[in-house]
Amino acid sequence: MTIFPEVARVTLRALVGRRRTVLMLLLAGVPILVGLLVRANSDGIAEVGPTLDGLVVRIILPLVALVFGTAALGSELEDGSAVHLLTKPISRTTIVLAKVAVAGTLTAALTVPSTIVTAILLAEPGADVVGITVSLGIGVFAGSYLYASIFAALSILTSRGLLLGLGYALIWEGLLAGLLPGTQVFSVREYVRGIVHLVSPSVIDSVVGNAAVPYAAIALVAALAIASYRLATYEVRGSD
Amino acid sequence: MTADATVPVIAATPAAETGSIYDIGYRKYEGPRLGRAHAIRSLFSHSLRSSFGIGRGGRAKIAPITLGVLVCIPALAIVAAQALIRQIPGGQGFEGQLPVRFDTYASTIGIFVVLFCAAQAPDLFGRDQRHSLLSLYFSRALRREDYVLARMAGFAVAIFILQMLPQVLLFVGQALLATDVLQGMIDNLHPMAAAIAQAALTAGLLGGLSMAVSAFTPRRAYAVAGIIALFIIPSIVAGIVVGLGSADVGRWLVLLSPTSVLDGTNAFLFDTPRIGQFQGYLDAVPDIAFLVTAAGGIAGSIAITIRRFKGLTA
Amino acid sequence: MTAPAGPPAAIVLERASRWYGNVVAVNDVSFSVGAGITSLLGPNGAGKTTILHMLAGLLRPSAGRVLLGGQPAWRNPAVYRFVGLVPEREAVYDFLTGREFVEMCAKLQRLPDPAAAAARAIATVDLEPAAGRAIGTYSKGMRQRVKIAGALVHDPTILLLDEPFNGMDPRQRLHMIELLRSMAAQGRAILFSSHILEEVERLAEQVLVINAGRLAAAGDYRQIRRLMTDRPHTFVVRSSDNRRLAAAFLAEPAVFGAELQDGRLNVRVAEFSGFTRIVARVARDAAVTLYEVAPTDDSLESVFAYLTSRR
Repeated sequence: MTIFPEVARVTLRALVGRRRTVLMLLLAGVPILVGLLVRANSDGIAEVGPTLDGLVVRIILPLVALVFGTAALGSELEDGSAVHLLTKPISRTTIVLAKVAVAGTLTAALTVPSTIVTAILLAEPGADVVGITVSLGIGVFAGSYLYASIFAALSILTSRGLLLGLGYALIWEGLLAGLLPGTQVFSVREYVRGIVHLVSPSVIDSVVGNAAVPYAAIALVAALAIASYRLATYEVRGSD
Repeated sequence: MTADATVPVIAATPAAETGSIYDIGYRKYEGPRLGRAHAIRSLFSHSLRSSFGIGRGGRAKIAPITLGVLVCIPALAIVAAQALIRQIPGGQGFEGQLPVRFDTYASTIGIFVVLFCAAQAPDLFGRDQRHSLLSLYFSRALRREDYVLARMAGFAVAIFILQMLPQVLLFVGQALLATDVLQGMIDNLHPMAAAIAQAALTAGLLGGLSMAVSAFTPRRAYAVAGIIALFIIPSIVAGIVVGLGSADVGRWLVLLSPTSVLDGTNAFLFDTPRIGQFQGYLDAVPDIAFLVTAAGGIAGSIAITIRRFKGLTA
Repeated sequence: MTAPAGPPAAIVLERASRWYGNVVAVNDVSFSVGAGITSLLGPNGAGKTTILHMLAGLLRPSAGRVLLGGQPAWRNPAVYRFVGLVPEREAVYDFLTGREFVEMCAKLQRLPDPAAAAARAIATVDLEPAAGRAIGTYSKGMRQRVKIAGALVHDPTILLLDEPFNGMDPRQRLHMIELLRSMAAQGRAILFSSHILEEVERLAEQVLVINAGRLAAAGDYRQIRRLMTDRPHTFVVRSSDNRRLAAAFLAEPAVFGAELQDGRLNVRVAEFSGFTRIVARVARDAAVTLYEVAPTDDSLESVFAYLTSRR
C-alpha cells in the first residue's frame, strides 16, 4: 500500500506553498493575538468557550479549511493537472481520502494549537484550563476534518466550490442560524459546539447536544461518499 | 476557401511559378483610432458589466444574481409585512418596530455586500494577471494608473448599484403604501438621500479594499480568503477586545474593521442608529476617527493598487 | 525499452457518440486500431480531444462502447495499467521537479523500482539535464516531454497522445517521431491526434479523418489521398462577372465544367488543390474580381482543403 502516502505526499507539497502558508499562518495567529491583547489588559475572561466559538469555530476554522479543502483537489481539477492523477490505476476513493486527510490535517495543525494557546491565554485564574483546552481542542480537531471533507466535496461538485463554501459558512451557519434556528441541526459549527459540550459541558452550550457526534459522523461519511462518487464519474472536457 | 481568392502579392507568371505568397492577413488598419479616454471608458464599463456577469458565461452570472436576489429579499419582506400589518386592526403601532429600515438597511445586507466583494473582485484583477493580459492592456493608449482606476471605479459602481437595488424597492414600496403617493415620496426623500450617500461610501471603501487585496493575490482562492478575512475577522476581534471594556489600546482596533468603520462613519454623518452585534464599540473612539479612517482607507487602497501595477512587469 | 506485456494492444470504438447538452461532439464513430501508429486527423473542434478523452476513460460515451484491450474505459481505473495518456493541456504539477513527477507516476503505477523506471523514461524523452528542475520553470517543449515520460513510465501497450507535437522545435519533433516509431515497432498501439498534415504524413501508417464529430475517412493515408484526387470536386464561386469567369475557367484543362445558378458559378474540377492554384490567376487574367471561392460540401474535401491549405 504505497498509493495513499504517495498521493498525500504530493498533495502536501502542493498545499504548503510559500504565500499560502504565510496567509494561513496569519489567520491562525489572529486568535493568539486576541488572547495576548486580552491578557495585557486583564487577568482573563470567564467566557472562553463562547469567545473562541465566535472567533475560531465561526470564522477562522471554516476559512482555513475552505482554502485547504478546495485547493487539495478543486484547483487541480480546474487547471487540468489532476488528469495525471486520474489516469493512474488507483481507486478514486483513495485519491479523495488522501486529499481530505492532508487538507484536514493541515487545517487541524494550524487551528488546534492556535485554539489551545488562545484558550490558555484567555482563561481566568482558577478556571478549569485542562477541561477548556481539551474540549475545544477536540472540537476544533474534529471540525477541521469535517469542514475539509465538505469543502473538498463541494470543490469536486462544482467549479464554484470556494464561493459555495463561503456562502455556507457565512450565510447558512452565520445568518440563518440566528433567523431560522432549525438550520443549526445541519451546521458543522453546531456539531463542533456539541462535541466541545460533550467533553466538557461547562465550556459551551449546545443546541444539538449529544446528537452532535452521530450527526458529524453522518456528515463526514456523506461528504466523503459524494466526493468519491463524483470523482469516479468526473468528466474532463477538452478544449474542443 | 475564400482566402485563396485574394490576388497574389507576387505576380509570378504561371509557367515560371514555383510558389506564391497570398496576402491573406496582416492588413493595415486605416480607420480612426479611439484614444485613451475611450479605452478608460471601455474598461470601466467592462468592469462594471462583468461584475454582474454580463457578457460572461452562465456560471459567472450565478453568484452576482444570487446575491442580487438576496439583498432584495429583506426589502420585499418588509414592504409585505407593512402592508399586512395595516390589515390588522390597531396594527399601525407595530410599524415603527420593524427591524429593517432605510437607515439600517446597509448593515442588514452587509454580509451580502462582503460576499459580493469576495466573489467578484478577484476576477477583475486576477484574471488579467493569471492569463498574462496586462501587456496587452499596457501596450495601448492606456496608462497603468488608468487601468487601475477604471477597474476600481467600475467595481465600486457595481457595489453601489447592488446596494441601491433594494433601497429603490423600499422607496417605491413606502411611496405606494402611503395613501398620498406624492407625500409618501417626499417623506422618504431625506432618508433616501442618506441611503445613497451611505451606499457610495460603502462602495468606495469595500470596493477599494477588496480590489487592493485581489491586486496582490492573482490566485482566486487566496484573494477570496483574504478579502473575507480582512472584512470579517477584525470586527470580531475588535468586538471581543472592546467588549472587555477597559481595553485602552484595544478599542482603536475598531478602526481595523472596514464594516465597523462604515457603521461609525454613517452614525457620525447621517446619525444612523448604533445597532448591531457590537454597538458598544462604536462609542469606543471619537466619531471623527471613523471618517478619517474611511477616507484614508479609500485613498490608501487606490494608491497601493496603483503602486502594485506600476511595479508589475507586464 | 522492453516489449510490452499485458492485454492486446487494441483500441475499439463501437458506434460511440458523445454530446454536451444539445451539441453533438462525436457522432456515431466506430473504428478499431491495433499495434502501430494511427493518427486522428482533423481541424480544431472536430472532436479529436473528445474521442481521446473517451478512450482515456475521462469522458462517458453518451452512446456506444469504448474498449481498451477488451475492457471498458469508463469508470475502470484498472485500464491505466496498460494505457498511457498525454493530455493536450499543459498543466503538470509545477511544484515538483521533472524527476519527482515521473517517479510519482511510477509509484502510482505500483512499479517495483520506481526510481529506475523514472530514470529510464526521462532518458527516453531526452530530458535528463532538466530533470532536477521544478516543472514550473520548463518550456513548452519540456513540459510536453515530461508529460510523455510520465505516460510511458509503466511501459503501456496503448499510448494516447493529444496534439503531442505542440510546442516542440524541429529537432525535438524528429526525436519524438523516432521514439514513437520505435515504440510502435515493439507492438504497441499508438494513437495521436493532430491537425497538422505534415506530422501525420511523416508518422502515421493509418489515418482516421475526423470532421464535425464524424469519421470522414479511415485507412492508409496515401490511399485516402488518391481516392480523394480521383473524385471530381465542385466549387462555388461568386465574382464581379460570373459569365466571363466561366468562359475563362472552361479554357483550363483542370476544369470539367461550369454552370451559372442564382448569381453563383458552380465549377466542377478534376483535382482539389489544382483548382485552388489556378483560380486566382484565371480571375486576374480575365479581369474579374473574386468575392468568394468555397468547396460545395462540408465533408472530406473541406477537411483536406483546410488541412492542405496550410502548407
